[in-house]
Amino acid sequence: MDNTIEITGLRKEYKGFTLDDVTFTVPRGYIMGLIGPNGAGKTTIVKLIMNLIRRDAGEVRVFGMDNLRHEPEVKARIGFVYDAPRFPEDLRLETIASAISAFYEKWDGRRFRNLLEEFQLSPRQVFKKLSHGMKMKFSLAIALAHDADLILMDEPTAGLDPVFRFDLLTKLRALIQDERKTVLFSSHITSDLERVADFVTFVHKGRLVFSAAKDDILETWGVVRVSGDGISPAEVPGARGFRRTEHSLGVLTSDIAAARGRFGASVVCDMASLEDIMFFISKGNAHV
Amino acid sequence: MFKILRLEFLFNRWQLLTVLAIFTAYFAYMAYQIDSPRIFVVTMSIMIGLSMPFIILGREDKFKTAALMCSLPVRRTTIVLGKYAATWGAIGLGLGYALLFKAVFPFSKFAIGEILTARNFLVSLFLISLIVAVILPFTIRFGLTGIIILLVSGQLLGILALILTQALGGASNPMRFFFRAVKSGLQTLLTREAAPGFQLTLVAAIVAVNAASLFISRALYARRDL
Amino acid sequence: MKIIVTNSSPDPIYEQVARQVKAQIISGELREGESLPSIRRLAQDLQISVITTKRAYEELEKEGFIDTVEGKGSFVAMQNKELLREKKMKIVEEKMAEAVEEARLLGITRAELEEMLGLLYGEKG
Repeated sequence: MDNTIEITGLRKEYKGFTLDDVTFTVPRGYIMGLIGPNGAGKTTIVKLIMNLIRRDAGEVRVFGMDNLRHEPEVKARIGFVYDAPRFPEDLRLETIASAISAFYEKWDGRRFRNLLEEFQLSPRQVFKKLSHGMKMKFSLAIALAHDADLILMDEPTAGLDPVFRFDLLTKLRALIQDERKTVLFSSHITSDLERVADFVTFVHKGRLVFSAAKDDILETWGVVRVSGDGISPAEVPGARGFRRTEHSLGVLTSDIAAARGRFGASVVCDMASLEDIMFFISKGNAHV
Repeated sequence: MFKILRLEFLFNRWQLLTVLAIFTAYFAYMAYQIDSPRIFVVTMSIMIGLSMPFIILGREDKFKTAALMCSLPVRRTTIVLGKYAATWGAIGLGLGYALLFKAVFPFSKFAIGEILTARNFLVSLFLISLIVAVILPFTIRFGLTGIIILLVSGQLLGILALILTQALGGASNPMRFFFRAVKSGLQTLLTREAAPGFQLTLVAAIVAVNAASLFISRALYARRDL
Repeated sequence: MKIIVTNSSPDPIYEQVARQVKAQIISGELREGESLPSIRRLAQDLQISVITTKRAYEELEKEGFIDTVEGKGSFVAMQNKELLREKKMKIVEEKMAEAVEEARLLGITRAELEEMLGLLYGEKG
């Protein structure tokens, strides 16, 4: 499988937070979701790919090229969408687009205009007059207009109403019909990722928890629920975290089949959603 | 670099025009009041040198467009070069407008011909270069807060100088000494024999100052985390 | 090709897809040689992951129901008439095994079961 992004041993140190030893790959032709609670390091990873911040250690290869040594060649093929679009607000959309389009050889003016039409945006509108959702769509139009091979998005659905989110996810699915295109987007809205992602990479407190096919995760991770003191978390095979309440215990496991085999019908074993996983790993007790 | 130049122009053209429009009042005042060509040159240079960098860089912090520019397929060193070019472009426009205005303004105290000399031009560029060469690295590295940093460090340096001279028993005020030195320096530049050697030295100085500043800015910007 | 997938089923989604395609091939709804939507197209239509449809098609190909040609897509494989009949028989056999098991649990005799069968066939002709 061809990889669009290869990240190895990535490290970035901040005063109160360190992203450390992050290694994963993004295969070409698929949608990968980068999930984790706020502050987990998702945005840091995206910024390190775009070299908006300098890495302290590790390697980032995009399209087979080091993202530092071949910065312009790599970025020419990336369409980026950030959580807060960073454009001068008092300008018209067409002015912003005109300034940016010059940088991309593959910019297609007609495609851009069609996208604006599809998103119901007028080129003569002033950026600050747009709603948050429309600003995101404009960013996306810019990102798609130059036939980017990688669409990189940082929290694109945050602050969007469900209708917009649906539109955005639909658009991403349509984009992937071309198997040369890849999408990596970070989000803490797990339901969006469950809907559209092919692969999921979970980061927590600056470290990688897993990077795998979404279906594999959703088919093997589960939550064991017991009331009272029936079971201790250590007894659950594949336990990855637990949460105690006054009367019950929930244990997250990466091998629900083994848990079912072990306990049978005496406990409740549910499949874990991405939200469950995020919840247990970030809020739960990891020391099983 | 030209793409950056064009982007900076598209992003800031209205601000540039607004500033020039506002400057019209100042230029009118200057043309009306100042009867010494040399003072005119110095005042105009300082005014334009201090304001143009902010036209180009001032809006960046507000709209966080630095992240945008650094995401485009262009090296950071090229971005810095483009910012310098854009700043100088704005300076050129400012100077051109000032001179044009002076030329047509009916109440000028002296004729435009009196300032349109090669020497005046070079001195003006040199002054502007000094100002811009200090401002740009700070703003490129720290954004607008860079100016605060600059002003604060300027104050601190002044206080330090004051303390030192007092401690060393010097009776005179170091600030006055500083200003007198600057004044005599300017006078030398503006009145000294405009020999080709002198002019060439000025040109070299202009180039050197800008090159050094550019070099520092590039190094600073390459390391800046956005 | 009409397929419905649901999250509320205990079966993994790729299995649901594979099963429904199998059923349509066996019933003849999908004819031999007919082309199937690409895995990406199907994923988009069903709003599921491409990996899922890929897996479903891989299973279908392994079991001989479809053929995938590089660059051309997937097609319903020429079904060996004998094998097809065998597959159909197997499905009915499984259902009958379920019925027999259920009957045993409920205490229904073989004779009663045979009578039921006769009635059912009689009604349906």
